[in-house]
Amino acid sequence: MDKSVPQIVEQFLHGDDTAFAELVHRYQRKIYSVAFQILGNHLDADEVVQETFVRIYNKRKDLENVRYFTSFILRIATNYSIDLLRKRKGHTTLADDSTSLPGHIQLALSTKVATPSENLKNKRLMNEILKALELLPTKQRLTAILHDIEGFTKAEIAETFGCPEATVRSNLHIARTKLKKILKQRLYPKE
Amino acid sequence: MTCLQYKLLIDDLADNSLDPVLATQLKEHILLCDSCKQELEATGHLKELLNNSASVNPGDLYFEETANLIFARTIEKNDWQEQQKQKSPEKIRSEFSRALISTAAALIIFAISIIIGTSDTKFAQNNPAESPIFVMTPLEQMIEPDDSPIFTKAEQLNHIQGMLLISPPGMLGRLSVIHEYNRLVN
Repeated sequence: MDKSVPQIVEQFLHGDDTAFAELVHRYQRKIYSVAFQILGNHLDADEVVQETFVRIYNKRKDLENVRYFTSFILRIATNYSIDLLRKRKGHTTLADDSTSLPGHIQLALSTKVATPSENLKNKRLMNEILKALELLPTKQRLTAILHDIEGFTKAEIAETFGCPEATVRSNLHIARTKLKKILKQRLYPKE
Repeated sequence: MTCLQYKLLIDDLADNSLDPVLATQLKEHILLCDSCKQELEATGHLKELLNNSASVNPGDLYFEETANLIFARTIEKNDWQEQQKQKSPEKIRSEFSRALISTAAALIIFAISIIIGTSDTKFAQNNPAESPIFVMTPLEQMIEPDDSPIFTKAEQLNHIQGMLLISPPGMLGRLSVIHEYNRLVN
């Protein structure tokens, strides 16, 4: 039977390295996806994934006071992503095409869609969404990414940012309103 | 409730997180209000777009490699450090013995080099055929007999003393000329 996250965290706290390995396997995809949505390129997302787990391993004692591991790991990943974003400011962060990715990763991306035209359409849409998200202030952008793209609940996001749930609702509402306006202009300019 | 107040609840309705009573009221309002209906449709469309864009998947191989890299930086590194901390007494003794033997060997080589170095002149006199290996140029021949335009005799002797300490052939032959140097200086 699969163990629950609190059980795995408890084992990890008692020095069980297999529990840490289990946490890596459970969360690395989610962390990668969040980091990619925030940073817009594979290399930075990769760095975020590795650093997040290395920090958790090195600061395992901090986990004793953590109520929700998901929010805790999300906070580390988003904070690190924001730091990277600040460092990269002025440099292009969006990966317009996947040619800069290592071979097997390009393959994985390109086989996700059935036809080249679908691939192109998906890429274009994704770039438009990433660009639209880039125009939002950091908190609104992160809220939209975590809630609408990654599927985290408002309570988890509130815990991650250490703010009331009402603030998350408000940020989400403003972010959606702005995104609707931006995407409408970009995707349907003639309307 | 006004239309503007209803509009603020549309996000929650789209997320299925609205209180059931309010949800019923809002749905009834939407049936009559085109503006709110459009707002709900636009929010739903946006949610769908964003949800569909969550397709970043670099593949299983990437995640396998990344997990291994993370383990190398955490678990395996920690194991190695633990191994270093938990050395058995036998291993510590063995390492100490090896260090002791190495030091003794170095000291023996040092002593031999001093012995050979101090006896080379005598050795060269007794074995003329071997002399090219050990015999050094006498110091008198290395310095100008009088003060040169550049260096005085005393300065030249100081240079030679320095060279004796730092230059090749190292320890071999170095000590044997010290007494000669002292003789010249005095």
